[in-house]
Order: sequence, then C-alpha cells, then structure tokens
Amino acid sequence: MPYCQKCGTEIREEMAFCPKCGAPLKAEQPPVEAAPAPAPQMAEKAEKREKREKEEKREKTEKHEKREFGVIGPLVGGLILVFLGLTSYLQVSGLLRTEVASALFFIIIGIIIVVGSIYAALMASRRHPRT
Amino acid sequence: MFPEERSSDIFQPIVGSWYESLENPEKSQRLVLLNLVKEYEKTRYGKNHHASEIKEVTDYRAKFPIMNYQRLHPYLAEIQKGDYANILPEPLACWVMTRGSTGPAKVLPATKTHLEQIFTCGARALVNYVLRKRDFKLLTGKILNLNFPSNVHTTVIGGQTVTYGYSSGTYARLNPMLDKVSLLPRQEEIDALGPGITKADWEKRFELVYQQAANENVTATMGVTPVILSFARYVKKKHGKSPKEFWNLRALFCTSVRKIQFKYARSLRRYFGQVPVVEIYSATEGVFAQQLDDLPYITPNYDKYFFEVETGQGTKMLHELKRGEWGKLIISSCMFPRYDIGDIIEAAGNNYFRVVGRHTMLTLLEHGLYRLFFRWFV
Ligand SMILES: [Zn+2]
Repeated sequence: MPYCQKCGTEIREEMAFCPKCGAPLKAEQPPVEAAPAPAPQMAEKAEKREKREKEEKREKTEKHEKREFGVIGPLVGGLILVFLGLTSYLQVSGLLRTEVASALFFIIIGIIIVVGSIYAALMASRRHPRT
Repeated sequence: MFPEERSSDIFQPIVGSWYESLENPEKSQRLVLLNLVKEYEKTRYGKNHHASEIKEVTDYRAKFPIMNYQRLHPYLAEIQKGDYANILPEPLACWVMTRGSTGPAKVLPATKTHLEQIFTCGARALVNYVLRKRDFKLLTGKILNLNFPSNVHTTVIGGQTVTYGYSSGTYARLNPMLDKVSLLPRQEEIDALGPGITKADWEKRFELVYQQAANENVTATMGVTPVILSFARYVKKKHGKSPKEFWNLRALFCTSVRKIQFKYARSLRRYFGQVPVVEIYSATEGVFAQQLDDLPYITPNYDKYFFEVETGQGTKMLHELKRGEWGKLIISSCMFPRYDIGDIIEAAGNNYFRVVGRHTMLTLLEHGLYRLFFRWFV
C-alpha cells in the first residue's frame, strides 16, 4: 500500500497515518513487535546522523558568521532585518504565501551578500591600490 | 457567573500549582521528571531504556534518546493495532491531528492524563488573566470559539470505529472547563458544518460564528491565531465592519502558532481594537506555556512538563537558560519522553521565554543574524 487512499500521497511502510491528510493507513504487515530491539537501534542511528548533520550545520553557520564579521556585517544584518520585516508583514497581511516568502528570502539574501562582498572588495582595492 | 469572592476556590486547581512551580522551577522540574520516569517504566519503550534506574537528570539524558514525530511512527502503528503499552503509560483516549498551513499533517494519540493537562493548562491563560486584571466581567460574556473541526477521519482500533479530527477543536469540545464559560458557537455546531478546510469551508464556519455572535455581548476570542485573524478579515469583507465595531472585546486568547506577539498582535488589534493579546504556546502535543503578565513573553508550565533545550553549548534545562540563550526545545510529557517539538526557544530572563519559530534553516539563519546584528549595538 504505497499510496494514501484518501489523497494519493506516497507513503512509507511504517507510517500509521498519511502525512498529507492524516487519514489512517491500515497496516497489513505483521507487527514490528517480533523484533523489539531494532527500534531503539534505529533511533540511535538516526540520532548519530542528526548529530553529524548538526555539526555540519554548525560549521556552516560559523563560516557564515566569520564572512559577515567585516565592516558590512551590521549593514547586511540590517538589510536582512528590513527584508524580513517586510516579508513577514506581507505574509500576515495575506499578500504573500509562506513558500513564496522563503524562496524570495533566500534569493534576496543571496543578492545582498553578493552585492555586499563585491562592494567590500571594491572598497578594499580602493584603499590599497595596486601599483 | 463566577462570584468574585469564591474565585480562588474555583481557580486554584487551574493556576495554583503553576504559580508554585514558578517560585522554584528547579525543584518543580525535578519532581516532574521523577514522576514521569515512574510512568515511562510502565511502557516497553521505557523498560528498554532502563527507566527504573533513573535517579537524576543526567541519568535520564544518558538513557533516553531524543525522539521526534518521524521516529514515533512505528509506535503509532502499534497503538493503532491496539497495543498502546509499547510507548504509552496508559490506554489511548482518542486520536488528534494537526495540520499547519505549511507543515504536513500529524496524527497523535491522546491519553486521559494528557487531556486533563491540556484542559488545565488551556484554561490557565484565561484564568490567570481574569485573576490578575480582576476582570471578572470577561467571564459574563460570550467567548468566540475559533477552532478547527474535531471530526475529520475515522479509524478502527481494536474493532471499534473511532472518529478523530484537529486537536484544537477536539480539545475545545472535550474541555469541561470551557463548559463553565459560554463558548460561541459550541464545538459540536462547528463540527456539524463538516471537516473541510478550504476557503469556502472556513467562510461557512465564519458566517455561523458571525450570525450567532452579532447581537451578543462578546468579551473575548479563544482559538487558533490565524483563524481568529481570518475571521476578522471575513467579517470586515462580508459585513462591512471590523469586529471592533460590533463587540467590545476585553482580550484575545491566541493559540497554536509561533510569534503571536511579534507577528500577529498588530494585525489582530487593527480589527479587534486596542485589546490585550494573550499568547498561549500550544501544539497538538500539549499546552506548554502561556503569557503570565503584560510582557510579550510566555512562561512554562513547569509543573506538568519537563523541559530541556539543546543549545550550542550542550543540553540544558529550560529554566537554566540565561537571558539571550537559545536552542531547540525538547519536552517530556505524560506520553512521550524527550520529544523534539521542532521549535526554537529563547530565554528572556526569569521565567520569561519567547518561541523564535520552527526549527528550520530559515529560522536558524534569521535568528543567528538577528543576534549577530544586535551584538553590534546592544
Ligand atoms: Zn492522504
């Protein structure tokens, strides 16, 4: 039974309920009880994976922060805050859907960072002109 | 309805132990953990993780892994087959579901103790508000019920067909505390309009609320925050006037989403007038915290749930966080040990906290930059 009968969403075997619409999915396979040990093991494995992911994430954030820590740090932060305020205002007033907002968010953040670093590079080369 | 002089008798069971726990969160949390562990001992999951050997918070952290909704799925499948004791300390009372506007649907079991806690904690924001402001008039009027329907799907458990639906509506329908106040409309009337959540379905519901309430003395709203807001917009659009022109509301009790004070409060006041917005931090998994006073923060229900936070410097107890510290909230309840609710929480000092948002890259980035930005100026 790989699909929900109510809404057609693809489902995984161990699921008890459809992740899209919440409809119950009758489990026809034999109970998992037969093997009581795997569940905690699986949980541990998943935990390890999560730990690794988290570490990677932290590294990324650190790198990210270091890059931002120039003169343009506050500037970029400010621009992002202004933009965040704007998007959440638009979201609340129903003019912008959440998915659109987050996509837009990443695009604009990207642009801000790119423009910011180009600007910083320009300023730096002006301060230390190559002879 | 509630004679003022008898108020403490009626309200004490609802807010008494909460107020006490705020005096000494550490003591209260220790007590809650020891009681919870005793319950977990009854489940196979708890036995597999040696719940009986736990004496201290550190033991608990060492023996129980953090779980989340995804990892709960195999256990839910077994509960559905009638085997609750695999993970639940007591029998299943009902199923409840949730669907965020963006997130996927979640279906979760509810036990008797869980429901009792939801009812007590769900009434706390209202009772605390009435007691603190001595605003007993709030209880003499009608309270608008703006929740989701509680009858959506059916499932078969142990040969019996069971109906379940959205948690907000289910909790509103079952809550005996809300019988004492006049909810308008009653949850059964909302359910009678069917389970749909399309725009047309909501408009049907909103029209029902409006028709019933138009000529009544409405003193408050209680329900899912975006629903309250959509209702206000509907009334303005269809009937040409803002709710503030129909009713003299005394407070808005808002549940189920993050950033109520920072994102929704202003829009709500535009339609409902300059009324206090009272935040309740709730999810299908429980009612975890609510606003204590006029400050735009929430204060945890230390007496019912056990709170931990995964911060950049390791796992800490929620009450240990200093102002400005933040991380991923992990909640142990009467149903699940160490459940990752998926939210980021930040301490504001004392017993005040703020839920920053869902635990996503977007929120982390946003919050990281927010803190980065403010470190330069504050
Ligand atoms: Zn489905």
